[in-house]
Amino acid sequence: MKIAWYTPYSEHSAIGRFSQQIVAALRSLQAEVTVVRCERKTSDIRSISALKDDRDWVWAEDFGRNPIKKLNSFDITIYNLGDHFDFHAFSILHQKRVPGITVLHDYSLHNALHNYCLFNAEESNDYREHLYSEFGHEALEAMDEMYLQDQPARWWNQEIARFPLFRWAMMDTLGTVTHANHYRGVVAEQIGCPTTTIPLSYDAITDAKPAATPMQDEKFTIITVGNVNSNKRYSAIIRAIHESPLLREKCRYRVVGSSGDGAVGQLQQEVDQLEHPIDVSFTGRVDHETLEREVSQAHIISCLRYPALEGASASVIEGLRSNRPVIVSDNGCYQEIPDDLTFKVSPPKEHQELTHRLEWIVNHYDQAKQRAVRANQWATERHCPKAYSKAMLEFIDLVLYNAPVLRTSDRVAAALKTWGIEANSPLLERIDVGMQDLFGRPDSSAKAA
Amino acid sequence: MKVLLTSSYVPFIKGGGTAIVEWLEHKLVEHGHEVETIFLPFVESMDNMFNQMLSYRLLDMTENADRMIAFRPPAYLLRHPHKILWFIHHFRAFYDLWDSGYCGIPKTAENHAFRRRLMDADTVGLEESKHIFTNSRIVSDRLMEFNQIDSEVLYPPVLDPERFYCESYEPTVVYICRMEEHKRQHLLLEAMRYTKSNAKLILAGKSHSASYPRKLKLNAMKHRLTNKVEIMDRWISEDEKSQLLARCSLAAYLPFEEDSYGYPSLEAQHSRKAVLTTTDSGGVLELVRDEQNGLITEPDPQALAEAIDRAVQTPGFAKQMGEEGPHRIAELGIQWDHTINRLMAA
Amino acid sequence: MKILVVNNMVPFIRGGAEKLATNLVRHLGRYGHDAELLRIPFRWDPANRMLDEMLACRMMQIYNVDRVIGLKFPAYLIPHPHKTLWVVHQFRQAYDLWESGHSYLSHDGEGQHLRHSVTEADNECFADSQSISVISRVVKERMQRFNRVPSEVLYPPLDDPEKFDCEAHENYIFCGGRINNMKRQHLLIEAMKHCRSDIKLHVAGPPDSPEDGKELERLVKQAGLQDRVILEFGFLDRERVIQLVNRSLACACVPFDEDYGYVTLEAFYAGKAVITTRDAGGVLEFVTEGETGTITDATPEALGEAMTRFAEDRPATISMGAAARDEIHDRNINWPSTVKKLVA
Repeated sequence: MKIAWYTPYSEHSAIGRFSQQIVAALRSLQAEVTVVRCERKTSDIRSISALKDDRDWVWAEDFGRNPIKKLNSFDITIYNLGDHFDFHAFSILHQKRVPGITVLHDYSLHNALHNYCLFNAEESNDYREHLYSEFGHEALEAMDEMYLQDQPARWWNQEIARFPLFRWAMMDTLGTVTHANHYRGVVAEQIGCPTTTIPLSYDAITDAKPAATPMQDEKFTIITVGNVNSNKRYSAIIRAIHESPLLREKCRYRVVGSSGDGAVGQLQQEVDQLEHPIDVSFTGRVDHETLEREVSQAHIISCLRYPALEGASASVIEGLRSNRPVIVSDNGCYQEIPDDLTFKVSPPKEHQELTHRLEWIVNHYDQAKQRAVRANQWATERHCPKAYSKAMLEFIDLVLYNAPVLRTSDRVAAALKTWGIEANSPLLERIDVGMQDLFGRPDSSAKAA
Repeated sequence: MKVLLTSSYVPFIKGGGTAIVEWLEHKLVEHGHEVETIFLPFVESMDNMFNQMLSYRLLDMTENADRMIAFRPPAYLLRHPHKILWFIHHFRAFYDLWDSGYCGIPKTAENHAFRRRLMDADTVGLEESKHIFTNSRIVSDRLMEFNQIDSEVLYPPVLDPERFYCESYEPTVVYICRMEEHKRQHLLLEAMRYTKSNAKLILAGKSHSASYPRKLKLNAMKHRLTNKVEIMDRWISEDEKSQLLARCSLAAYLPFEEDSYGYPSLEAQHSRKAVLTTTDSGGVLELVRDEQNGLITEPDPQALAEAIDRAVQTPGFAKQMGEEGPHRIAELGIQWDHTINRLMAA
Repeated sequence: MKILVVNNMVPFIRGGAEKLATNLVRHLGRYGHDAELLRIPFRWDPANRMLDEMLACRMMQIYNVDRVIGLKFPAYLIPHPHKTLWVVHQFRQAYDLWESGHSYLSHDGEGQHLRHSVTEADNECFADSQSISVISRVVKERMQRFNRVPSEVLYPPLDDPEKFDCEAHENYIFCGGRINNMKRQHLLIEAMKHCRSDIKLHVAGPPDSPEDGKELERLVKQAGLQDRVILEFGFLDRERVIQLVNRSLACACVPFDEDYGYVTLEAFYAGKAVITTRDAGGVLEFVTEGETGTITDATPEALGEAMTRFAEDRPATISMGAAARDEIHDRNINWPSTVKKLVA
């Protein structure tokens, strides 16, 4: 099996690191994989070192306008896709020319669409037109509201979760891989190609031993890792600590990571304005070594995310692999983690439940540690490159098996469109039945070899 | 009964695949049935196969006929509550020829998957059939091997067996058949270099291309066989065919791995003539029994030459084998009454 | 050239355009082409099957053919780079019949959608065709009206026009062709009640169904016209039909809104004036009032009156017949030029 694997491949890219592991695992399963970097060759991107690979990778941009010739020699092309245009530009552009399998890391591709529209002057559609055609007035109004309130960041980081926007980027795909079930259903509905969920593979940076339970006079360290933005609910932690005498006494909070847009400064201000002082510190940007150290010195990992915009979360897997109790918001991909492995907080009752959970962990740390160890075992088995690549190869097989039928479907749809019959017409039911009768459902996972 | 006969075809190309359908129509009408024959176009190109298969599937033959008999692929996809197949071959490139050198389809993962998809779609149509007949043991075996489906062999008769007769056993070998590479007239031509008797060879039939007959003629000239070999590369009328068969000692039919025995060998047997064929001719061997109603040799010019000499030089041998022809035909039930009984009873 | 003529068919039912299709194939062959006929089974009932049928034709592939000549919807939707149309009729259920409320397509959502898709499919096909001919002006006008597509009228020639001749003027009016409700032979029988002369009516042809024949027999019996009306049912020998036409005084052809009719041509070649009605459709493209026949209201009284006139004024009738003959010859409807036009 010859695979072209489109991915960002810089040291800074989480998807890049993910790809590096999967590509290695695929090769160990006898697949021939060529890494094709899908980023735009901007000076910013080129200034970061590439990940190490013992084979040569190539830039998709070098394939020129027509990648068909280059990609013809592969059995399948896999396009990793995330919500950042510059990092995934050629996954988006080449997928239209050479349909393959899309690995959808984020399902709300608004930022990518916005920049794609700016980049692709040929297409007259702009971002708002796309938005309108997918979601109608509701979406435009929601966006306008945020801008009116002078909070554009809330649109780009939060509100977009209500409008899963990915179809524009993958109209011709032959199959889609999602990393959590919560968005697989939406994808299957909208795109009508085979879809599958493969638990996201992530080889954790750290494999620390469980933390020692703090002594009477020692504090518990709670950390949140990653790019600082409001989804991660820093304020919720700060408030919970502040309003609970127990937590004020027993906990310190370290924000590990930086932000580009002054979010850190805002949080600092928030802390400064609190009635009671609490122990909150900010590390700023950290490298891997520092990150490992921070994790090993932490007792509790907060992976609160609301709304959950990612397909699946690499950082929660890192958290689960850390052998430390992990707190998650009960939405999105986090819902799919078994209840007895993490500490779940329901977003509508966030403050109440967060306080409750943190206090319990502090008072029952030994039990919390046991839970954390079980969570690590679960995560290790489920979220590893070996399992992922095996599932990927099976899916490739299914997709290839289904591809000729999908092509027929497309031709039928094109003919019908010329005849004024749109995709949602009830007249199509009969044709669908006819096709299914002969070819089975497009989504069917049966009948692969 | 009202019977629909359906098959795929390529416009302007007539052959065994259309003959069997047309002859059956003729005979069914003779037996008092009402028949409608429908040929639908089909092009075997990977880009378009599934689209066309869908188009067959979208048609509806349910009304108006008591039963439907479907022949060439993918006619078995047509829908009818009483669907009978007289299955004469698969999409061979994707089935039995896939692993041979004659396939021409690159063995990529994509194409392997395409093949599986095709086979699964075919099986849907096959499984819907009330009964499946084939034209040979070989094809039945393939249906079992590739689609895990049972079938009954029903050998196709020629339209007018009465046309064929026996006049004499002159020292000629005739090969009356389209002149194509895979029919291997060239092999027989080569054999004439090694014959020691006064045997003459007549090659008769039209070719799709000009190059193959030209090659044969050049070869004949090169090896000085022109007085031993006659090459009639044109359309041969039914009367001419009967005549040529009536007078020969041996009728050759040695295609490479053919699905079924082929009408030429059957016609020869109706003319009470032994059939000369080779070990790798495939379905012909279902009809021919070595030394009984014909001769089977290695596909090698010298072996063929020996067989020809034997047939021509051994007194009474050709006749003895030829007389066996009608018995063999009866033994295999190759006869319209039987055919129609089976097709209408299933 | 290898030319494939493409037409619809319904298994076990012989339709009107079948003869045209086989004639076309034969004549194409006569003029040096390899020609074959492809018949695609067409089932339009229930209405929502339309889309399946259309798509089936659209998804077919043709190989080894230089030209395709398409005759009817949806068979003519088959794709081919060099497609010529000789439209016998479009799918009238989606056009004029829909408009007049006689269509089996409903006027609600689904019916509307289907109608629209038929129109769009036709438009796509017309745009992709190299040339479009139609068998009558009626078809041309409809195509112009509903699809805004121009076309050229190319009347289907008779196969054997030379066999028709004015042999005699025996005392009967002849009505040939298929027998069914739409052809309205019943109207002629009723008209005989109002015919004051002793002229007979001779109806001959195959009834579409036994009921169609029985209905006419009943009418004759009821009106007591057994000795005035001769009914000859069945698939007649061509020779017999020719004889009946050639020896008649005049012919009558009164179908409802027919696109075309060979019967009129046969009459004209035989030099017979034709009685027809205002709503007969394509027949009116040939018959001119007072010159080559007469055009009346579609009532028994009016037709009876016309028959009486024809019978009583034999010289005028015969003279109109001669004019009809000249007319049809002037039109020069023949196979060589038809083939030439279609293959250009």
